[in-house]
Amino acid sequence: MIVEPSPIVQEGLRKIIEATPEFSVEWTFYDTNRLKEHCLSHNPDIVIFNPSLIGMSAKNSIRHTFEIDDETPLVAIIYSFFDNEILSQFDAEIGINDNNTRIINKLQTLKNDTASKSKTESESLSDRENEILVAIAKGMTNKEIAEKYYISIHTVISHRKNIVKKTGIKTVSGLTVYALLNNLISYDDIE
Amino acid sequence: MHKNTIISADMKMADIIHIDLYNLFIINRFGIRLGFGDKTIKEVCEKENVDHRLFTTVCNINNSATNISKTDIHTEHILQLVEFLKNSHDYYRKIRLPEVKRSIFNLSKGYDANTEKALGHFFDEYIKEFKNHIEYEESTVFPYIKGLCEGKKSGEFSIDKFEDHHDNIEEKLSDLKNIIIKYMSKPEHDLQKLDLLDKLFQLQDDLDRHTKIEDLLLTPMVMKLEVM
Repeated sequence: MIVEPSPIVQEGLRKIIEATPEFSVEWTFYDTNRLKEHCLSHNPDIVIFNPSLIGMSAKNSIRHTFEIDDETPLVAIIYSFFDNEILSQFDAEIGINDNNTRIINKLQTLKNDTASKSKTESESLSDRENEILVAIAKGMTNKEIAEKYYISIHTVISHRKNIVKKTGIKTVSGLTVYALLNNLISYDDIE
Repeated sequence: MHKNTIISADMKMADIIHIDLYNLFIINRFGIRLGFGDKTIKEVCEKENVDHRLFTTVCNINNSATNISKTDIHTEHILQLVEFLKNSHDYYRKIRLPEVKRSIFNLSKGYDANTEKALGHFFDEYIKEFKNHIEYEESTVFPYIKGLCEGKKSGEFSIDKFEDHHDNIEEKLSDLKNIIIKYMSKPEHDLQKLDLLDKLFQLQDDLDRHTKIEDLLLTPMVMKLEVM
Protein backbone atom coordinates (compact mmCIF):
# COMPACT_ATOMS: atom_id res chain seq x y z
CA MET A 1 0.00 0.00 0.00
CA ILE A 2 1.35 3.42 -0.94
CA VAL A 3 0.13 6.60 0.75
CA GLU A 4 1.79 9.52 -1.06
CA PRO A 5 0.28 12.87 -2.07
CA SER A 6 2.42 13.47 -5.15
CA PRO A 7 1.17 11.63 -8.26
CA ILE A 8 4.65 11.69 -9.78
CA VAL A 9 6.27 10.09 -6.77
CA GLN A 10 3.41 7.65 -6.23
CA GLU A 11 3.33 6.48 -9.84
CA GLY A 12 7.15 6.28 -10.01
CA LEU A 13 7.33 4.18 -6.88
CA ARG A 14 4.60 1.90 -8.17
CA LYS A 15 6.52 1.35 -11.44
CA ILE A 16 9.71 0.51 -9.57
CA ILE A 17 7.99 -1.89 -7.20
CA GLU A 18 5.91 -3.61 -9.85
CA ALA A 19 8.97 -4.21 -12.04
CA THR A 20 9.81 -7.02 -9.63
CA PRO A 21 7.87 -10.26 -9.63
CA GLU A 22 8.02 -10.38 -5.85
CA PHE A 23 5.98 -7.28 -4.99
CA SER A 24 2.83 -5.65 -6.24
CA VAL A 25 1.08 -2.44 -5.29
CA GLU A 26 -2.46 -3.27 -4.28
CA TRP A 27 -3.71 0.08 -3.02
CA THR A 28 -2.65 3.71 -3.49
CA PHE A 29 -3.86 6.81 -1.67
CA TYR A 30 -3.17 10.50 -2.11
CA ASP A 31 -4.44 11.40 1.36
CA THR A 32 -5.37 9.73 4.60
CA ASN A 33 -9.15 9.81 4.16
CA ARG A 34 -10.56 6.34 4.57
CA LEU A 35 -7.06 4.98 5.11
CA LYS A 36 -8.03 3.53 8.46
CA GLU A 37 -10.93 1.53 7.03
CA HIS A 38 -8.67 0.13 4.34
CA CYS A 39 -5.92 -0.87 6.74
CA LEU A 40 -8.44 -2.63 8.93
CA SER A 41 -10.19 -4.53 6.21
CA HIS A 42 -7.27 -5.37 3.91
CA ASN A 43 -4.37 -5.70 6.30
CA PRO A 44 -1.62 -4.83 3.75
CA ASP A 45 1.77 -6.61 3.85
CA ILE A 46 3.77 -3.38 3.78
CA VAL A 47 2.63 0.25 4.11
CA ILE A 48 4.68 2.99 2.45
CA PHE A 49 3.67 6.33 3.88
CA ASN A 50 4.69 9.93 3.38
CA PRO A 51 5.09 11.46 6.88
CA SER A 52 4.16 14.93 5.61
CA LEU A 53 0.55 13.69 5.54
CA ILE A 54 0.31 13.75 9.31
CA GLY A 55 1.85 17.21 9.63
CA MET A 56 4.90 18.24 11.63
CA SER A 57 3.01 18.89 14.81
CA ALA A 58 1.24 15.56 15.02
CA LYS A 59 3.02 13.37 17.48
CA ASN A 60 0.31 10.75 17.45
CA SER A 61 1.25 7.26 16.53
CA ILE A 62 0.68 6.63 12.84
CA ARG A 63 0.04 2.97 13.49
CA HIS A 64 -2.53 3.76 16.10
CA THR A 65 -4.28 6.49 14.11
CA PHE A 66 -4.72 4.36 11.01
CA GLU A 67 -5.01 0.98 12.74
CA ILE A 68 -1.97 -0.45 11.02
CA ASP A 69 -1.16 -3.89 12.38
CA ASP A 70 1.91 -4.02 14.64
CA GLU A 71 3.47 -6.64 12.45
CA THR A 72 3.02 -4.73 9.20
CA PRO A 73 6.25 -2.92 8.26
CA LEU A 74 5.78 0.83 7.94
CA VAL A 75 8.09 2.60 5.47
CA ALA A 76 8.58 6.37 5.15
CA ILE A 77 9.03 8.15 1.83
CA ILE A 78 11.29 11.07 2.57
CA TYR A 79 11.96 14.14 0.47
CA SER A 80 11.93 16.86 3.06
CA PHE A 81 13.01 17.28 6.65
CA PHE A 82 11.19 15.41 9.41
CA ASP A 83 11.49 15.34 13.13
CA ASN A 84 13.26 12.27 14.50
CA GLU A 85 10.32 11.59 16.72
CA ILE A 86 8.15 11.10 13.67
CA LEU A 87 10.73 9.05 11.80
CA SER A 88 11.26 6.73 14.74
CA GLN A 89 7.81 5.32 14.10
CA PHE A 90 8.94 3.84 10.80
CA ASP A 91 10.70 0.54 10.22
CA ALA A 92 12.57 1.84 7.16
CA GLU A 93 12.97 4.94 5.00
CA ILE A 94 12.96 5.37 1.26
CA GLY A 95 14.74 8.54 0.14
CA ILE A 96 13.81 10.46 -2.99
CA ASN A 97 17.33 9.81 -4.34
CA ASP A 98 17.29 6.05 -3.79
CA ASN A 99 17.72 4.00 -6.93
CA ASN A 100 15.57 0.98 -7.85
CA THR A 101 17.86 -1.64 -6.36
CA ARG A 102 18.11 0.16 -3.05
CA ILE A 103 14.35 0.51 -2.75
CA ILE A 104 13.70 -3.13 -3.59
CA ASN A 105 16.48 -4.27 -1.24
CA LYS A 106 14.88 -2.37 1.61
CA LEU A 107 11.50 -3.93 0.93
CA GLN A 108 13.02 -7.40 0.69
CA THR A 109 14.76 -6.99 4.04
CA LEU A 110 11.49 -5.98 5.66
CA LYS A 111 9.67 -8.88 4.07
CA ASN A 112 12.24 -11.39 5.29
CA ASP A 113 12.22 -9.89 8.77
CA THR A 114 8.48 -10.25 9.10
CA ALA A 115 8.61 -13.78 7.73
CA SER A 116 11.21 -14.91 10.25
CA LYS A 117 9.47 -13.05 13.06
CA SER A 118 6.18 -14.81 12.47
CA LYS A 119 8.00 -18.13 12.30
CA THR A 120 9.85 -17.80 15.58
CA GLU A 121 6.95 -16.21 17.40
CA SER A 122 5.51 -18.61 19.91
CA GLU A 123 2.42 -20.42 18.82
CA SER A 124 0.87 -20.36 22.25
CA LEU A 125 -1.70 -17.73 23.06
CA SER A 126 -0.98 -14.86 25.42
CA ASP A 127 -3.03 -14.55 28.62
CA ARG A 128 -5.14 -11.81 27.09
CA GLU A 129 -5.72 -13.88 23.98
CA ASN A 130 -6.81 -16.80 26.13
CA GLU A 131 -9.32 -14.55 27.89
CA ILE A 132 -10.69 -13.33 24.58
CA LEU A 133 -10.80 -16.88 23.27
CA VAL A 134 -12.92 -17.95 26.23
CA ALA A 135 -15.25 -15.02 25.62
CA ILE A 136 -15.58 -15.98 21.94
CA ALA A 137 -16.24 -19.59 22.88
CA LYS A 138 -18.98 -18.47 25.22
CA GLY A 139 -20.64 -16.79 22.27
CA MET A 140 -19.97 -13.17 23.22
CA THR A 141 -20.01 -10.56 20.46
CA ASN A 142 -17.08 -8.26 19.72
CA LYS A 143 -18.97 -5.41 21.36
CA GLU A 144 -19.62 -7.39 24.53
CA ILE A 145 -15.99 -8.46 24.71
CA ALA A 146 -14.80 -4.88 24.21
CA GLU A 147 -17.03 -3.66 27.04
CA LYS A 148 -16.04 -6.43 29.39
CA TYR A 149 -12.29 -5.84 29.02
CA TYR A 150 -12.43 -2.06 28.49
CA ILE A 151 -10.79 -2.25 25.08
CA SER A 152 -11.85 -0.97 21.66
CA ILE A 153 -13.67 -3.17 19.18
CA HIS A 154 -10.67 -2.81 16.84
CA THR A 155 -8.45 -4.28 19.53
CA VAL A 156 -10.85 -7.17 19.94
CA ILE A 157 -10.74 -7.78 16.19
CA SER A 158 -6.97 -7.66 16.20
CA HIS A 159 -6.85 -10.20 19.07
CA ARG A 160 -9.24 -12.43 17.14
CA LYS A 161 -7.01 -12.25 14.07
CA ASN A 162 -4.02 -13.31 16.15
CA ILE A 163 -5.92 -16.16 17.75
CA VAL A 164 -6.95 -17.47 14.35
CA LYS A 165 -3.41 -17.06 13.04
CA LYS A 166 -1.85 -18.89 15.97
CA THR A 167 -4.32 -21.75 16.30
CA GLY A 168 -5.17 -22.25 12.63
CA ILE A 169 -8.84 -22.43 13.62
CA LYS A 170 -11.22 -20.01 11.92
CA THR A 171 -14.75 -20.71 13.07
CA VAL A 172 -16.32 -19.88 16.42
CA SER A 173 -17.44 -23.46 16.98
CA GLY A 174 -13.92 -24.68 16.15
CA LEU A 175 -12.46 -22.27 18.70
CA THR A 176 -14.97 -23.53 21.25
CA VAL A 177 -13.72 -27.08 20.79
CA TYR A 178 -10.16 -25.82 21.10
CA ALA A 179 -10.99 -24.01 24.36
CA LEU A 180 -12.63 -27.16 25.76
CA LEU A 181 -9.71 -29.37 24.78
CA ASN A 182 -7.33 -27.03 26.53
CA ASN A 183 -9.54 -26.90 29.61
CA LEU A 184 -10.06 -23.17 29.27
CA ILE A 185 -13.79 -23.61 29.68
CA SER A 186 -16.13 -26.42 30.60
CA TYR A 187 -19.06 -27.57 28.57
CA ASP A 188 -21.54 -26.02 31.03
CA ASP A 189 -20.16 -22.56 30.22
CA ILE A 190 -21.46 -22.69 26.71
CA GLU A 191 -24.81 -24.33 27.22
CA MET B 1 -1.69 -45.03 -18.15
CA HIS B 2 -1.43 -42.41 -15.47
CA LYS B 3 -3.60 -39.88 -13.78
CA ASN B 4 -3.30 -37.18 -16.40
CA THR B 5 -4.42 -39.39 -19.26
CA ILE B 6 -7.18 -37.68 -21.19
CA ILE B 7 -10.20 -39.91 -21.14
CA SER B 8 -11.90 -40.51 -24.47
CA ALA B 9 -15.08 -42.37 -25.35
CA ASP B 10 -13.29 -45.23 -27.11
CA MET B 11 -11.40 -46.25 -23.96
CA LYS B 12 -12.56 -49.23 -21.98
CA MET B 13 -14.81 -48.27 -19.10
CA ALA B 14 -13.04 -50.71 -16.79
CA ASP B 15 -9.64 -49.11 -17.48
CA ILE B 16 -10.53 -45.64 -16.30
CA ILE B 17 -11.11 -46.88 -12.75
CA HIS B 18 -7.48 -47.98 -12.66
CA ILE B 19 -6.41 -44.53 -13.81
CA ASP B 20 -8.15 -42.83 -10.91
CA LEU B 21 -10.33 -44.46 -8.30
CA TYR B 22 -12.51 -41.36 -8.30
CA ASN B 23 -13.80 -42.34 -11.75
CA LEU B 24 -15.58 -45.17 -9.99
CA PHE B 25 -17.66 -42.64 -8.11
CA ILE B 26 -18.40 -40.80 -11.34
CA ILE B 27 -19.57 -44.04 -12.96
CA ASN B 28 -21.77 -44.75 -9.98
CA ARG B 29 -23.24 -41.26 -9.81
CA PHE B 30 -24.20 -41.39 -13.47
CA GLY B 31 -26.25 -44.43 -12.52
CA ILE B 32 -23.98 -46.88 -14.33
CA ARG B 33 -23.61 -50.31 -12.74
CA LEU B 34 -20.39 -52.28 -12.58
CA GLY B 35 -20.04 -55.48 -14.60
CA PHE B 36 -19.54 -53.87 -18.01
CA GLY B 37 -16.87 -56.34 -19.12
CA ASP B 38 -14.62 -54.96 -21.84
CA LYS B 39 -17.10 -52.49 -23.29
CA THR B 40 -15.91 -48.99 -24.20
CA ILE B 41 -17.19 -45.85 -22.50
CA LYS B 42 -19.27 -45.05 -25.55
CA GLU B 43 -20.90 -48.48 -25.61
CA VAL B 44 -21.66 -48.51 -21.90
CA CYS B 45 -23.03 -44.97 -21.97
CA GLU B 46 -25.30 -45.71 -24.92
CA LYS B 47 -26.70 -48.73 -23.14
CA GLU B 48 -27.33 -46.73 -19.96
CA ASN B 49 -28.68 -43.65 -21.74
CA VAL B 50 -25.90 -41.38 -20.57
CA ASP B 51 -24.42 -38.84 -22.97
CA HIS B 52 -20.86 -40.07 -23.47
CA ARG B 53 -19.51 -36.59 -24.18
CA LEU B 54 -20.88 -35.34 -20.88
CA PHE B 55 -19.47 -38.39 -19.15
CA THR B 56 -15.93 -37.93 -20.49
CA THR B 57 -16.02 -34.18 -19.82
CA VAL B 58 -16.85 -34.82 -16.17
CA CYS B 59 -14.07 -37.43 -15.92
CA ASN B 60 -11.56 -35.07 -17.49
CA ILE B 61 -12.47 -32.16 -15.23
CA ASN B 62 -11.83 -34.48 -12.31
CA ASN B 63 -8.54 -35.79 -13.61
CA SER B 64 -7.44 -32.19 -14.20
CA ALA B 65 -6.20 -33.42 -17.54
CA THR B 66 -7.54 -30.56 -19.60
CA ASN B 67 -8.94 -27.17 -19.23
CA ILE B 68 -12.50 -27.35 -20.30
CA SER B 69 -13.08 -25.80 -23.70
CA LYS B 70 -16.18 -24.00 -24.91
CA THR B 71 -17.05 -26.86 -27.19
CA ASP B 72 -17.52 -29.07 -24.12
CA ILE B 73 -20.44 -27.01 -22.90
CA HIS B 74 -23.46 -28.75 -24.43
CA THR B 75 -26.69 -27.95 -22.76
CA GLU B 76 -28.93 -30.65 -24.20
CA HIS B 77 -27.97 -33.16 -21.50
CA ILE B 78 -27.78 -30.76 -18.59
CA LEU B 79 -30.46 -32.66 -16.67
CA GLN B 80 -28.21 -35.71 -16.68
CA LEU B 81 -25.59 -33.57 -14.98
CA VAL B 82 -28.15 -32.35 -12.45
CA GLU B 83 -29.05 -35.97 -11.73
CA PHE B 84 -25.35 -36.73 -11.31
CA LEU B 85 -24.97 -33.91 -8.77
CA LYS B 86 -28.08 -35.05 -6.89
CA ASN B 87 -26.62 -38.54 -6.66
CA SER B 88 -23.44 -37.03 -5.21
CA HIS B 89 -25.54 -35.26 -2.59
CA ASP B 90 -27.21 -38.54 -1.71
CA TYR B 91 -23.85 -40.17 -1.32
CA TYR B 92 -22.71 -37.44 1.08
CA ARG B 93 -25.89 -37.72 3.12
CA LYS B 94 -26.03 -41.49 3.24
CA ILE B 95 -22.38 -42.54 3.27
CA ARG B 96 -19.78 -39.83 3.81
CA LEU B 97 -21.34 -37.85 6.67
CA PRO B 98 -22.48 -40.85 8.76
CA GLU B 99 -19.04 -42.36 8.21
CA VAL B 100 -17.31 -39.29 9.63
CA LYS B 101 -19.79 -39.11 12.47
CA ARG B 102 -19.04 -42.70 13.44
CA SER B 103 -15.29 -42.02 13.37
CA ILE B 104 -15.74 -38.94 15.54
CA PHE B 105 -17.75 -41.00 17.99
CA ASN B 106 -15.07 -43.70 18.12
CA LEU B 107 -12.37 -41.16 18.77
CA SER B 108 -14.19 -38.97 21.25
CA LYS B 109 -15.42 -41.71 23.55
CA GLY B 110 -11.78 -42.15 24.62
CA TYR B 111 -11.83 -38.58 25.90
CA ASP B 112 -13.67 -36.91 28.75
CA ALA B 113 -17.36 -36.10 28.53
CA ASN B 114 -16.68 -32.45 27.68
CA THR B 115 -14.62 -33.24 24.64
CA GLU B 116 -17.02 -35.91 23.52
CA LYS B 117 -19.95 -33.51 23.68
CA ALA B 118 -18.03 -30.67 22.06
CA LEU B 119 -16.84 -32.71 19.11
CA GLY B 120 -20.25 -34.28 18.63
CA HIS B 121 -21.91 -30.90 18.77
CA PHE B 122 -19.39 -29.39 16.40
CA PHE B 123 -19.99 -32.01 13.77
CA ASP B 124 -23.78 -31.96 14.18
CA GLU B 125 -23.67 -28.26 13.41
CA TYR B 126 -21.51 -28.96 10.40
CA ILE B 127 -23.97 -31.57 9.14
CA LYS B 128 -26.83 -29.14 9.59
CA GLU B 129 -25.12 -26.44 7.54
CA PHE B 130 -24.05 -28.92 4.95
CA LYS B 131 -27.56 -30.27 4.53
CA ASN B 132 -28.96 -26.75 4.32
CA HIS B 133 -26.59 -26.07 1.49
CA ILE B 134 -27.46 -29.11 -0.57
CA GLU B 135 -31.15 -28.66 0.11
CA TYR B 136 -30.86 -25.12 -1.20
CA GLU B 137 -29.38 -26.47 -4.41
CA GLU B 138 -32.04 -29.11 -4.70
CA SER B 139 -35.00 -26.88 -3.91
CA THR B 140 -33.89 -23.71 -5.73
CA VAL B 141 -31.06 -24.19 -8.21
CA PHE B 142 -31.98 -27.53 -9.74
CA PRO B 143 -35.70 -26.75 -10.26
CA TYR B 144 -34.66 -23.45 -11.84
CA ILE B 145 -32.46 -25.35 -14.32
CA LYS B 146 -35.28 -27.76 -15.06
CA GLY B 147 -37.56 -24.82 -15.71
CA LEU B 148 -35.04 -23.30 -18.13
CA CYS B 149 -34.93 -26.57 -20.05
CA GLU B 150 -38.69 -26.43 -20.42
CA GLY B 151 -38.40 -22.91 -21.76
CA LYS B 152 -39.57 -21.19 -18.59
CA LYS B 153 -37.70 -18.13 -17.44
CA SER B 154 -38.32 -17.31 -13.85
CA GLY B 155 -37.75 -13.70 -12.91
CA GLU B 156 -36.42 -14.15 -9.41
CA PHE B 157 -33.39 -16.37 -9.69
CA SER B 158 -30.43 -16.51 -12.05
CA ILE B 159 -27.28 -18.59 -11.88
CA ASP B 160 -25.03 -15.67 -11.00
CA LYS B 161 -26.92 -15.52 -7.70
CA PHE B 162 -25.74 -19.04 -7.10
CA GLU B 163 -22.56 -17.93 -5.49
CA ASP B 164 -20.26 -19.91 -3.36
CA HIS B 165 -22.13 -20.82 -0.23
CA HIS B 166 -19.47 -23.35 0.65
CA ASP B 167 -17.20 -20.96 2.57
CA ASN B 168 -18.21 -21.59 6.13
CA ILE B 169 -18.68 -25.30 5.52
CA GLU B 170 -15.15 -25.54 4.19
CA GLU B 171 -13.73 -23.59 7.11
CA LYS B 172 -15.39 -25.88 9.61
CA LEU B 173 -13.99 -28.95 7.91
CA SER B 174 -10.51 -27.46 7.90
CA ASP B 175 -10.89 -26.49 11.57
CA LEU B 176 -11.79 -30.03 12.49
CA LYS B 177 -8.71 -31.35 10.68
CA ASN B 178 -6.50 -28.85 12.49
CA ILE B 179 -7.98 -29.67 15.87
CA ILE B 180 -7.27 -33.35 15.40
CA ILE B 181 -3.84 -32.91 13.85
CA LYS B 182 -2.58 -30.25 16.23
CA TYR B 183 -4.50 -30.32 19.49
CA MET B 184 -5.63 -33.81 20.38
CA SER B 185 -2.63 -35.22 22.08
CA LYS B 186 -3.52 -38.63 23.47
CA PRO B 187 -1.17 -41.02 21.69
CA GLU B 188 -3.23 -44.08 22.59
CA HIS B 189 -5.90 -42.91 20.17
CA ASP B 190 -3.65 -42.56 17.15
CA LEU B 191 -5.49 -45.19 15.14
CA GLN B 192 -8.85 -43.55 15.68
CA LYS B 193 -7.35 -40.18 14.72
CA LEU B 194 -5.87 -41.69 11.60
CA ASP B 195 -9.20 -43.18 10.65
CA LEU B 196 -11.06 -39.91 11.20
CA LEU B 197 -8.50 -37.85 9.30
CA ASP B 198 -8.61 -40.31 6.43
CA LYS B 199 -12.40 -39.91 6.24
CA LEU B 200 -12.20 -36.13 6.52
CA PHE B 201 -9.67 -35.85 3.72
CA GLN B 202 -11.77 -38.13 1.52
CA LEU B 203 -14.83 -36.01 2.18
CA GLN B 204 -12.90 -32.81 1.45
CA ASP B 205 -11.49 -34.23 -1.75
CA ASP B 206 -14.91 -35.36 -2.92
CA LEU B 207 -16.41 -31.93 -2.15
CA ASP B 208 -13.61 -30.10 -3.95
CA ARG B 209 -14.23 -32.12 -7.08
CA HIS B 210 -17.97 -31.64 -6.77
CA THR B 211 -17.52 -27.86 -6.54
CA LYS B 212 -15.20 -27.91 -9.52
CA ILE B 213 -17.86 -29.59 -11.63
CA GLU B 214 -20.46 -27.07 -10.52
CA ASP B 215 -18.16 -24.13 -11.26
CA LEU B 216 -16.56 -25.28 -14.50
CA LEU B 217 -19.41 -27.18 -16.09
CA LEU B 218 -22.83 -26.61 -14.55
CA THR B 219 -22.60 -22.83 -14.21
CA PRO B 220 -21.40 -22.15 -17.79
CA MET B 221 -24.07 -24.53 -19.09
CA VAL B 222 -26.80 -22.68 -17.26
CA MET B 223 -25.45 -19.31 -18.42
CA LYS B 224 -25.69 -20.57 -21.97
CA LEU B 225 -29.29 -21.66 -21.39
CA GLU B 226 -30.16 -18.32 -19.84
CA VAL B 227 -29.29 -16.36 -22.97
CA MET B 228 -30.93 -18.81 -25.35
